[in-house]
Amino acid sequence: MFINRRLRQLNLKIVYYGPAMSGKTTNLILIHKRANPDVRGELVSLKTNEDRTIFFDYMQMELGKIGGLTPNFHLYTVPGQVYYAATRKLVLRGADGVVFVVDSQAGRLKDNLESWDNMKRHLHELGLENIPVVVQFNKQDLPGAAPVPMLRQFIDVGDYPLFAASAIQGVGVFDTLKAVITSVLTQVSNQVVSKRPA
Amino acid sequence: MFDLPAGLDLSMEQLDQIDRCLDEMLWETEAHCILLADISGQLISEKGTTQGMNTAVLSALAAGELAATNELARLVGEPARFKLLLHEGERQGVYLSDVGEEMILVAVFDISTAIGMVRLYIRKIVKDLLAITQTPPPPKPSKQNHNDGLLSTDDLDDLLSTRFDAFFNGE
Repeated sequence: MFINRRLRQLNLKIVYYGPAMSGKTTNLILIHKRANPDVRGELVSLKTNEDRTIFFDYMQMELGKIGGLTPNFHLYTVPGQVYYAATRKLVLRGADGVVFVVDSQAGRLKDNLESWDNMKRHLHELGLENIPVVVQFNKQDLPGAAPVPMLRQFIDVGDYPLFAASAIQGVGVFDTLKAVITSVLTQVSNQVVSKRPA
Repeated sequence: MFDLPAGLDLSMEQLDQIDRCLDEMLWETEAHCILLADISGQLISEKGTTQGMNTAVLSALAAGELAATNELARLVGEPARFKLLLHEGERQGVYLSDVGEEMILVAVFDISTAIGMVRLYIRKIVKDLLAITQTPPPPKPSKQNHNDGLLSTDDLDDLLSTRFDAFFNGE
């Protein structure tokens, strides 16, 4: 989080995390496509020749004023492949909130669990274990998708907000985004309130 | 005033001092532009000619690149971090530098500029910027509305229930 007092801007970083091919970039592409051009910045993708994210995707959006502040959200994805673990941790630096994108296909359970543990460990190592996390169960439209209650039995999502989604069909993408924005802004507000003198 | 416990929160005085620092470097080195961002790539200040340049994206990429460089240093067993990174193009050069633990500096130069001089100025400005940002801001006046502009529950509700969908009504 960086507060630019001159512009009265509250800069917040949200990272889409999850295993390879779970739909993180698809989420961002859809958000960018549907966002009004006057609230969104350019979508930048650092990817390989095979269209796989190698470093991150990035876009920013400014959702108008709240009170006297203009929250400016910086959305990132991480590369999902196992061997990019170091890169994922770098992108998580300074995050204010995380969306964990689960690939709901039954055959991807092990990859989801590995990525989830990876994320929890990185958040802990970066001192970010208390930032809001929202979980999106993506690819629910596919025939081989496991239902959310079943996936919850394996992935220890605790009390985090959950959303069933099909990012490619646009289902659940904006509910997820709204939830993470709500959680991040609420956390910021609570921090302010808890710091106020009695 | 906003009074948040985490993240980089610079006072107006500090921002003015930072701007003066960047202006001085711009003048002395004839850089095309200089950006200061936090380590997650969020822009703090920019000076010089940035028209047609997406500085938000530039600072996000620079932050990612410096973070990767520091990880490279760790992997090859370098005890200190690689603090400075130079890209040389045909017409321009880009310098990236850490500014302590929390900020990064990006300087875009004409390729004809003497590299040694740029390096010297970057070292100097890094010291100056650290001195500015590490000085605790003066105590805030104890006005009742010192948190003027705070995110209230009503404001949040208004954004999320009324205005949110309107932001995403594109194709």
